[in-house]
Amino acid sequence: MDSPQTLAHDGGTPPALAPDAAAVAARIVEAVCSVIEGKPEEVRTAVVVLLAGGHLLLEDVPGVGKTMLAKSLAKATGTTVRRVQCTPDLLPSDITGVSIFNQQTQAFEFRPGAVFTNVLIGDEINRASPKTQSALLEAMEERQVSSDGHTYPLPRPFLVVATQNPIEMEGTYPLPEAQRDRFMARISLGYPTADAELAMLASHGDSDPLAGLTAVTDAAELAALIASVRAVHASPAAQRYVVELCRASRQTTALRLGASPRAGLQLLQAAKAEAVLAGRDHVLPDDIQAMALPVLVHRLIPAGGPGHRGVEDVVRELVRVTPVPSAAPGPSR
Amino acid sequence: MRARPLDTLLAGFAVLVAAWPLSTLLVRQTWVMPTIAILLLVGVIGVLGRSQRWPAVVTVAAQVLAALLALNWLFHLGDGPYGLPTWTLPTHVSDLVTQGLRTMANYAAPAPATPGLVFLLVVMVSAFAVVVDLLAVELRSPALAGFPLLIIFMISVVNTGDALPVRYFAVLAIVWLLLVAQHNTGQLGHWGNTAVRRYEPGRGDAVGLGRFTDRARVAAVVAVLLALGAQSVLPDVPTRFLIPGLGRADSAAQGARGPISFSSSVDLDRSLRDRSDRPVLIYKTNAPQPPPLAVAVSTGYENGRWFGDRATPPGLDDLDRGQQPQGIAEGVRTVVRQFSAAGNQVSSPQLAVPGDVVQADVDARWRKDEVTGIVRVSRQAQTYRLIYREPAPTPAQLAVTRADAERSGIPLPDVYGGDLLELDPASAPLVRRTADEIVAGGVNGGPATTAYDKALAIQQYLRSNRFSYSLTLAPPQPREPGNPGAGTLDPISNFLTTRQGYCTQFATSMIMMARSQGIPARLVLGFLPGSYSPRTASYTVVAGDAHAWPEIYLAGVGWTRFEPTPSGRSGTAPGWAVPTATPTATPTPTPTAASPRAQQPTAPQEAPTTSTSTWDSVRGLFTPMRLILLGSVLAVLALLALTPVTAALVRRRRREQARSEAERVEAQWLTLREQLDDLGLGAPAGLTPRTLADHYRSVPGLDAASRDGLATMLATVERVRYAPTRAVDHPSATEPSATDPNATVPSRTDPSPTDPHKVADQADEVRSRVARTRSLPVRLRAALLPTTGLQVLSRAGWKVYDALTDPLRRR
Repeated sequence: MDSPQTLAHDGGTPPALAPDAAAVAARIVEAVCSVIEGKPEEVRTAVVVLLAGGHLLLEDVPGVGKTMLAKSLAKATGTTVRRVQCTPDLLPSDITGVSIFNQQTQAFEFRPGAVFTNVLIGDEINRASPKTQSALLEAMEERQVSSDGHTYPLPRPFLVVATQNPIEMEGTYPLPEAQRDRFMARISLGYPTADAELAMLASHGDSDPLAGLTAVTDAAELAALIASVRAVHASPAAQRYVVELCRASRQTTALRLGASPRAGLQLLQAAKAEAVLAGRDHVLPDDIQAMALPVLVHRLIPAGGPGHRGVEDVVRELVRVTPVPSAAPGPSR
Repeated sequence: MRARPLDTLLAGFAVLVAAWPLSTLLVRQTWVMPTIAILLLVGVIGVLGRSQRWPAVVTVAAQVLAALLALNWLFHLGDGPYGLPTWTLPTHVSDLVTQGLRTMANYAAPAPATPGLVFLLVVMVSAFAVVVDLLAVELRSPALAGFPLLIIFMISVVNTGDALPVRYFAVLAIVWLLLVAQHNTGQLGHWGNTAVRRYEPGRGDAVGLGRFTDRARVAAVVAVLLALGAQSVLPDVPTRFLIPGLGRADSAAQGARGPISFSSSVDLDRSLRDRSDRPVLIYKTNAPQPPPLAVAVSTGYENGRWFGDRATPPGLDDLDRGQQPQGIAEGVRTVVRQFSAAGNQVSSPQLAVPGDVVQADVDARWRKDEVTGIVRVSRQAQTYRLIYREPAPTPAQLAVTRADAERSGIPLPDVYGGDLLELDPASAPLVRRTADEIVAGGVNGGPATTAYDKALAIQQYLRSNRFSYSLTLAPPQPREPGNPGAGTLDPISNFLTTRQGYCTQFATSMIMMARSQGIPARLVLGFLPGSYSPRTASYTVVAGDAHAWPEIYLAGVGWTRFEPTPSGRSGTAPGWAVPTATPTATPTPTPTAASPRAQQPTAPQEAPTTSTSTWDSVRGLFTPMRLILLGSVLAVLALLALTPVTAALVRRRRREQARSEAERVEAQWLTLREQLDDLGLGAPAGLTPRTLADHYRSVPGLDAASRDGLATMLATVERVRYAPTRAVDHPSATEPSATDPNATVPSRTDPSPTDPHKVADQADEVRSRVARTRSLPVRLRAALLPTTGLQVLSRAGWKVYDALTDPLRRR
C-alpha cells in the first residue's frame, strides 16, 4: 500500500529551491537528534523554525536540554552561537552593543553586543527587564541594530532561541502577548523517556555530546536554504486553510484571544519549511496541521473559568473540527 | 418541580377545550360539570402521584379507578351502600350505553342530552383525559398529547354537518402550544449556556437561548395562522359518512313547552328543531320494528307549504269495523299488531297512530277518517290502546298497475284525479324532467314501468349519497345562473338543485315526482318510532322525532308508505319499499346489485343521472376517496423523489460550473465524499486528503480495490488542490497507466489522472464498490435521502421561513 510519502507528487523543482534542500534539512535534523535523544518531533520543529527564518521559544523546566538544543543546532549548521543569561540587571546595550569613545581615534566606536551571531540563546528571557527584552525583540524583528545613527545588519541566518522557565515565576517579567507573538513557534522538550534517558547517560555521561557533532552545512548554504523556503508553493486552498484555522481560533469561546494575522503568516511560513523538510515544493494541509500546535499555542489565551481546557487541547480540537477547505470559494465541506 | 401542577392544569384545560365543541352536539350541556369534576380528579391524582414519585402505572391506575368511581356516583350506577356499585352495575351501564347509542342513531345534532349520551361522552372524554395527562405530564411528551386531544376534537367535527366555528380550533391549538411551550421552556432552562453556544466553524455568531424561544413563538403563530388559513385554500370534498352518527345540523332551537300538534299549514321545521328531550308519547308495541306514527295527512301544496288536513273535524261517530278502508286494498295480507300509549302530549283532535287502526280503546270519542286512515279524538287522552294492521304486500301485488287493476276489475277508489296528482306549477318543469330521467334509469337496470318501480327509483335517488340531510336549507339559488334579476328558485327546485334539506323536502320532492308520473301521492306527518328503552321495553317519542313521509297509491296495495329521507334520521325504509329482484324486472347481470342488502340506502350507490355516458363511468372510478388515495400516493412519491432529484441537480450544476480541470476534480470529489458520507463512511471534518486516505483505509468492510481507488482519487485531489498548477497544465505523457484503479500508487514519474471523464469514472466505480459493502437499509437511505438534497431543501425552507416571518420580526 502507499504511504504518505509516496503520495507526494514531485511536480518539478522550482529554480529557487535547491535540489538537495530536503537532504540538507534532513542532515541537520539527524545531526541534532544525535545530541538531543528521544525528541525527534521537537528537533524537527526547531529545524523548521530555523529554515522558516523564525525564532524559537523554548518553555521548559531546567535541565532538559534547552541550551543543548540551541547549541547543537548552531554547531550542526556550522554557524556561530552566543548565549546570554538574562537577569534583571542585564542592560539593552549588553544585547545590542554599545558605542564607546575611542581615546586614540577620538571617535565613537561600536562594540557589537551578544546579538551579533547566527544563533542567540536567550536563557530565561523572562528574567530580563522589559527594556532589555524589548531591545532583543526589536533586533529579532528588524534583524539589524541601530546605534548612534548607524545601522548594523545582523548576520544571516539569525535565529533567537529564547528559553523560559515555567516555574519559579517570582521576580520575573513574563513576556507580553505582543512579544510572544514575535516567536514563530514555542516548543517544550519535556522529560525524555526512560530509555532515552538511559541512553543519554550511557553515551554522554563521560564526554561532551557536542564534541562529536560536526557541521553538516554552513551559514551560506543555510541562508540560501532559508531563502528558498519562501519559494515553496502555497496553493489558494492551503492559504484558505490557514485563514480558516486562524478565524476558528478567534470564534471559539474556549479562547479569550485568538490568532493574529501575523500568526497566520508565520503558520504558512512554517508550513512551507515543513514541506521542504518533507521534500515537497508545495504546502499540504498536513504541513499546516503539523505546525499549528507549536506556531499557535503561545499566542492564544484560554477563556479561563472552571473546567477550561489547556490551550494545547483547544488548538488540537480546532485542527480536528475545522474543515479542510477545497480551493473553490464559497461554502465548503 | 416534579409534581408539575402547572403542566397538569394546562393538560386538563386542553382536554376541556378539546371537548368544548361537543356543546354544539347537545341541546343541554349537562356533560360539562361531570367532565370538569373528573378532569379535576384526574389532575389532582396526577399531581399527587408525581409528587410522591409513584410509578406511572400506579398513577394511571389510580386515575382510572377514581374516574370510574366518580362516574359511578355521577350517573347513579351503584345500588349498594354509599352508592357503591353492586352486581346490577353491568345492567345499568348497558342501559345507559344503549340509550346513548340510540340517541346518536336517531337524532341529528344537536341531540337531546339523554343520560346515556352524556354518559358516553363523559366516559370518552375522561379516558382521553387520563391519556393526555399520562403523555403530556407523566411521560413529558406534550407534543404527543396532541393526538388524543385531536381525537376528542374530531368527535365533534365529524358529527356536526356544518363547519365548526374557527374559535374551537384556534383556542385548542393555542392551549396545546402553550402546553408544549410550558414543558419545553422548562427543559430549555436546564441547558447550560455552553451547550447552547456551541461553536460551529464557519457558522458565524453563537446562538443564544432567546433565539430558540423567539423562533418557537414565531413558528407557533405562523403554524396556527397557516392552519386557519389553509381551510380556505384546500378543496372542499363532499362529506362522506362511513356510519350514521349524530345527524348533520348546526344550530339548536329550544322547543316550546305544552302539547304538540301539527297545524293545518304544515311546517315541520319548528318541531324538528325542537330538541327538548321531553317525551311526547311513550308506547309499547309488539311490532318488532314499529312504523312511524301518523298524525296528519296533507294533500295540497301551494307556494312551498302543505295545507289542507283532510281529517274530518271532531264530531265523531264510532268506527265502522266492517268497511274496507281506502288505505289498504283488498286481498293484501296484513299483520295485526298491538299498541298501547301513555303520557300522550299530542293535543286533540289529533292522535298518533302507527298504521291502519282496527280497534281503539281511547278515553274519548274518536273517529277514523276512511280516506286518510287518520284518527281524530274529541279530547286529549293520556293513555290509549290500539289494534292496527300493517300491510305485507307480495311482489305481485306491488307490481299491479292501474291498467292491470282496471282490466281485472279490482275496485279503485277515487284517487286518480283532483289534488292527489296536482303539481306545484313553479317546480313542475324540473320535477317532471328529473322524474323522467329517474324513471328511465329505473332501479334494477331497466326503465321503471310499474308505479311501484317508479316510486322505488325515486326513493332510491333521494336516498342516494348525492343528497345530504340538514335542518339548514341551502340559500335559494338564482333561477337563472348569472341573472340575479330573474329571482330565486322555488323551494322544491332549490332542494333538487342544492340537494340539502330535511324530511319535508325529501318527502315533498318524492310526492311531486310521483305525481308527475301519474301516481297519486300525499304527505303524512307524524313521528319517528322514537327511542327504545330496554329497561321498560317501551319507546319514547320526543318532539324532535317529528317526521314527514310520502304515501304512494299503488293499485294493488293501496296507500303505501315510502321513505325517501336518508337513513340516520329516518331509519330504514319499510320492507316493501326496499327494492327486490322482481320477476318483471329486466334481468340484471349482477345479482348482488338486486339483493336487498346491496340496495340498502346507506350503501353508496349511483342513481340514474342526467346522462349515463362513459364520462359517468369514468367519474365513478375517481371517487373522492380514491382521488385522495391517489393524490397521497403521488405526493409521497414526489416527496421521496424530491431529495434525490435535488441532490442530482445540485451535483450536475456543480459539475457544469467547474471551469478548470482542478475544479472538475474538486466537484467530483465533493460529490463522491457526500455519497460516502451517506453510505455511512463519514469522516471528521478536519482531515486532510492524506489523513482521509488513512481514515478510509481503517474503515472495516471495504475491499482492497475500493481502498486503492479512494487513495488514488485522494492523491489526485491533493495534487490539483495543492501542487503548483504548472504540473496540471502539462501532464506527462505516461499518465494513462495511472488511471487503472488497480494501480496502487501513482509513481513520481506517473502523475494521477486529471482527465475529468476518467476521474468521474473512477469516482463512480469507487462509489459503487463501496456501496456494495454496505447494508441494504444504508444504501436505500443514501439513494432516497441524500444529505446534499436535504441540506439544499432545508436551506430553501429556512429562506421561505425567513421571508415569511420577516414582517413579524420587524414588528
